[in-house]
Amino acid sequence: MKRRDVVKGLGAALAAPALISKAAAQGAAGFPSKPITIIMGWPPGSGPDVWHRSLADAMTRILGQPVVVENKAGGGGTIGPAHMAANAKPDGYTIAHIPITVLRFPVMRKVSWDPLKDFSWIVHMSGFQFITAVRADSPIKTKQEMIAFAKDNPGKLTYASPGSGTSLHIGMELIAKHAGVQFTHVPFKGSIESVAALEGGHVMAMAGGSEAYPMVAAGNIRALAAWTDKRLPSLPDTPTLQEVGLPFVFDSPYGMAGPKGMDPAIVKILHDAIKQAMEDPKTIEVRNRFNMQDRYMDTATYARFNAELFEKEKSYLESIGLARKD
Amino acid sequence: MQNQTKGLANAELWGGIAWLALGLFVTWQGWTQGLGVLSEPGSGFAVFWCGVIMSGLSATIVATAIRQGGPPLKSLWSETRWQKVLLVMGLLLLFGFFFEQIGFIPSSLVLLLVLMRFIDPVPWWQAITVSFGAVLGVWFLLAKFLKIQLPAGVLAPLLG
Amino acid sequence: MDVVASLAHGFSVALQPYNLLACFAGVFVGTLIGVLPGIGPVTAMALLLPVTLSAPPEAGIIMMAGIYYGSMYGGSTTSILVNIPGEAASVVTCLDGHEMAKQGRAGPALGIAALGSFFAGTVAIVALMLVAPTLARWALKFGPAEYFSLMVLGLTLLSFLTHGSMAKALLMASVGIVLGLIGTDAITAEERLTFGRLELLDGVGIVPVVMGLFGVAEILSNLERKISREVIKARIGSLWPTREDWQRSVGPMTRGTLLGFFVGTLPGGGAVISSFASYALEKRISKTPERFGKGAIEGVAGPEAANNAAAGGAFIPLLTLGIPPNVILALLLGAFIIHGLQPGPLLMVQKPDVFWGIVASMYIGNVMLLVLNMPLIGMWVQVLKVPYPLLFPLILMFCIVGVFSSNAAVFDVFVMVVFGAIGYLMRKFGYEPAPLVLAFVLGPLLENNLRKALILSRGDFWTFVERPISGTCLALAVLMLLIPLLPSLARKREAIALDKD
Repeated sequence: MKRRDVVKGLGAALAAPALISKAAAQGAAGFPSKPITIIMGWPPGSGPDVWHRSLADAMTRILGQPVVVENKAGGGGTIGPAHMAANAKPDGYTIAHIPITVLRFPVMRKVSWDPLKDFSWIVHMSGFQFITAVRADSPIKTKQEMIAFAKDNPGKLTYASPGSGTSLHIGMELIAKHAGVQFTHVPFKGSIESVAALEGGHVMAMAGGSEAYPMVAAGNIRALAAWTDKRLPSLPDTPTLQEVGLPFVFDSPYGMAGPKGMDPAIVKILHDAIKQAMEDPKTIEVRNRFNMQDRYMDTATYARFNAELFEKEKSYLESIGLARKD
Repeated sequence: MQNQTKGLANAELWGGIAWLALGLFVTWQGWTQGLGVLSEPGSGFAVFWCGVIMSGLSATIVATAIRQGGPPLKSLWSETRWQKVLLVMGLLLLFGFFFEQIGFIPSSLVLLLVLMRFIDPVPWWQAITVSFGAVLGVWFLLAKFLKIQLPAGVLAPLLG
Repeated sequence: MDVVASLAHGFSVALQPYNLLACFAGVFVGTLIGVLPGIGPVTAMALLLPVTLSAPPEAGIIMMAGIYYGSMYGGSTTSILVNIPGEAASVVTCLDGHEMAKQGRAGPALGIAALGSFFAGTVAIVALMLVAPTLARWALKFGPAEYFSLMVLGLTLLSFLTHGSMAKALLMASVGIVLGLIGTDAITAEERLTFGRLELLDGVGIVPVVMGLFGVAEILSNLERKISREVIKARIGSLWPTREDWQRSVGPMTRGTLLGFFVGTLPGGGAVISSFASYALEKRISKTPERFGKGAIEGVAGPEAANNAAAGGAFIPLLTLGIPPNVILALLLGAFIIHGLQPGPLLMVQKPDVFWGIVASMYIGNVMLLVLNMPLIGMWVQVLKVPYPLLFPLILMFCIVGVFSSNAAVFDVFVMVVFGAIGYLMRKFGYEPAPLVLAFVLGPLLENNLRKALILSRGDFWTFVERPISGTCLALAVLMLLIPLLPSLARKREAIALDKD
């Protein structure tokens, strides 16, 4: 169901004039007075989608107006936010989930949006967590051994990632660069295919997300390192990259934003509601089920974080040759 | 389609030429994308070779058409109501442009009524009953029962 | 635990009134989704997922699974009645199913499809219990080289799909591959043939292409004819398959089930490949291959059984390894996770209630589906009695809704309309759409795995031959291509010999 009030062209001609004037008269006072739509760039049923649906549920109770999640998947999660930035009114009734690709794609290719100008940041929420893993019967037991192996056998160490230009691919290439070794990248579609390729012995290692945890728990594959700043609660015995001497923290952070030019007072109302919803025990449970950490940041911090992230992405992608050339 | 022609009106010939043009375009696209090396084929590798195969196959179709002839272009549309086909296509495109803004219910109603009245006209009462019944039924089934998102458009304030 | 005792325990779980209700709700929604063209189980399952949160885990998952296999059941209905395949796997059902409907045999076609689905579904569950762990290990052996060779084998099926010019069929196949390559290249993250459109980054959707090439094109060609479909209307024959139909269908169903089950365990495109493969197989071994494409019931029975068996087979990697082989099962994995369950090697041991409960509910669900679907056949056939001027606008509306709803993207509606026009022109000029669809599905897998295999082998093509599974697939492909050639070669040699005399 679309409750977007972007009524233009023939739509405007057909719409009752009363409805339009009502929409125009709304300000921060009395917000929200009608349903709010969260645009979700990932397909239905994915981790962030399910979590946002539970958040929307909680926000509905907090704000007293229905909050609905609308999927607009595609383009690595960017089609939804890009569409919102171009079409939605900055009235707070249409906001979007912002994955890291919104900041990364502009570095890689020509896109329709300016990541630093076209959005009103609201809140930073969480991120996906990543690990490096090998098969349980692999002679490689630690991350250091993996790097040592790559040093002795240049290009022989093959690893699966969920695709080129994903945080996992970029992370592995930066690790290789830092350690002065060369890995052979074999991109699969998503972490699940990577797990299957690793288990079937088609690659020697994988860089993947939480999809791999059950296989680690079952003892089929061995986690070498977690890419987070702290050890993962679900894998307490796995050291972080920093613990094994690699000065990196990689994850795929995401938050929420609206179109540019939103009234700060409305941003505040939305921020407070999302924050409160994130603290709801039910939504915390859903988030934990999908192995996503709580990485709350307020509006100002999030805006600063994004500016820094964009610069960081630029230098990362340039150093491994994935930045756009024109 | 008994009459065959080897002249310029040969449908087979034009079909082949259209595909040949597409094949050459794809080949060129693949080439600009980069073929890579054998131990790491580039993005354009498969595009290029598919383009080459397409061009080759359409060239044989063109050659056969020149040698054996084919039905004249006009014969493909003789005794047909091609205007209706164009009309339906045009309506569908128009529908696509306004679907999201106006919303599922009003735009589908208009589409159904126009199709029912102007292609092979059915009585008004039938057209109205069936289109209203179908559109509202589908909307209820999808939006309310299966919870599938359909654009509410101008009716958004009413449908809540 | 012994299988019989476990299963008995499973039935005691599945037969609890609440779980029975969940199962029924699941297959009911599934049937509904299956019949609506283009609306896949993914959309509905995702949106109903939160609804199951408040239910106990078994009930929630039983319902989700019910939607999945329920939707596989009804998929053939629109293919047979109005030539609109709701998904790629039902494309082959159109070839002979719709022909049967045109001949007034829609009833038997629908009946065989339902019974074939029931048979295959049930057999697949039994096989799921018995060979799940072994087969899961086997499926893991498929790496890039194996997939590439399997896709090559798949593409040789083309030669059985067409009855027109071979050059045109191969041309359509290469067009299909190129279409499949549109979007972001997963290996280099470069855009291919997207012309700067964000919507094309993830490629062209299969549903809009298939519904355009078949559904919309069919409507356009029907409309331009002056005499519309009075012919079909006049002849709605018996509803039930005849004795001869049965005799013809038993073999194809059995073979289709086996084929579908094994191919279904492989990640990626299992149901599609198995339905095409089953059709090709039946045509190949038939004594009267010329009947195919003109309403042969074998061409409905085999592929329908195959794609339902594949649906069953697909549960194997999910339940035993935690690896979902397709998007729908990935969603089911999501349902497991939400309910705090982790499918994988430990599921059977740690949560026998859930594992065996689901398996048992699938038996029950299949019976429910049969009971639900058989009486509906009579109703579906009535659809053909609706005058075409009233029917075709409705079909178009269903196509639009189906295509739109999977991604909530109007772009997909345009894709469907454009492919409708292309499909209409293709019919005019004598090009067949089925090879295009097959290649469209297999093409990206073919290309991606070829490149991955070459990265892994460092550019050595020998890898495809020396790996046993891959080598076998390639040998089979060569054999498939050579067999039809042999008699004609022999004949030619004779002809040459005669000439010399």
